[in-house]
Amino acid sequence: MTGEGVKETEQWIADKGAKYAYAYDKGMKVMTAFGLGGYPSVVLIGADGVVLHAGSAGGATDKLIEKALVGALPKPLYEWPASAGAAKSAFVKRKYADAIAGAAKVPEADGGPAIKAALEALVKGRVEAVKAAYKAGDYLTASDGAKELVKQLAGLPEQAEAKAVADEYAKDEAAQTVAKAQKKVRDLRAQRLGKSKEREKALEDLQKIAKDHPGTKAAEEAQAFMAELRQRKS
Amino acid sequence: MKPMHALRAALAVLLLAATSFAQRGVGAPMPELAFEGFSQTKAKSLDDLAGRAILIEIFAYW
Repeated sequence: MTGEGVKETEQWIADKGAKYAYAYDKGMKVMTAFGLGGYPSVVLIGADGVVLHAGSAGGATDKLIEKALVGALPKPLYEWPASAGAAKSAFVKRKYADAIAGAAKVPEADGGPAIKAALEALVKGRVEAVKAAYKAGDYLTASDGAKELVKQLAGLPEQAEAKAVADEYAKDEAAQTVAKAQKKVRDLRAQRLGKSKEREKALEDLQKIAKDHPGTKAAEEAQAFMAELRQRKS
Repeated sequence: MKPMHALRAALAVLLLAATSFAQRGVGAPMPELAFEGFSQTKAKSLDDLAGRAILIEIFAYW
């Protein structure tokens, strides 16, 4: 149905007894940003701000949700006290050293130590996730994450750990080859592939990636997307 | 770890359903997303949810 307004939507929410937070995607800006054209669709964003899934509801698997929760703040920012304003604003800008320094100034009565500990845990979690991704052969996630972290962790000792991953990647030609192939798979995923001819071409490309990079994350991702495309076909 | 711990932000969108799914932006940092009229939460924007896992369900009703 088209043209329903806020009044009707709120009535619908009330009728269904929906308790969850909701908002409006006016002008379908969010749908467009993720290239989504169907309902229902699901977007999953990790605690590190990285998009983990954008597509069918079934694609947001328990495994991905667990990944999204790594290092998540136990308390959302909107529940932080006013005295944590500086920490909050630095955190939103992903300036983690400033955020931790700001949290250190929040009085104990306002939960300052807990906020500081949560931020430190989040930083640690992000560094560990990047290291784990590298170890698991997910070189694209690891290299992109390490690059981001080197910037975001300026002034913190953990920056050196992120830099070590970035440096290792810069020297590892095999890892770079796999990451490039992973990027190709992700670029294909970003395409609409609405026509069967487009899907067939994508399947050919994916098959080649899987064949050229056996036993790697690139092959794994190519095969997973091939399975999704074949399902879409039928 | 229960998936329900992830924050659910459901969107009521008001158009007929189509059928195609993409994965644009997966693996990249979340783009700036302008949702309007946050309800049933103290969050006023997605910035307020930074540092949390966010599960957005986009649905239409009719």
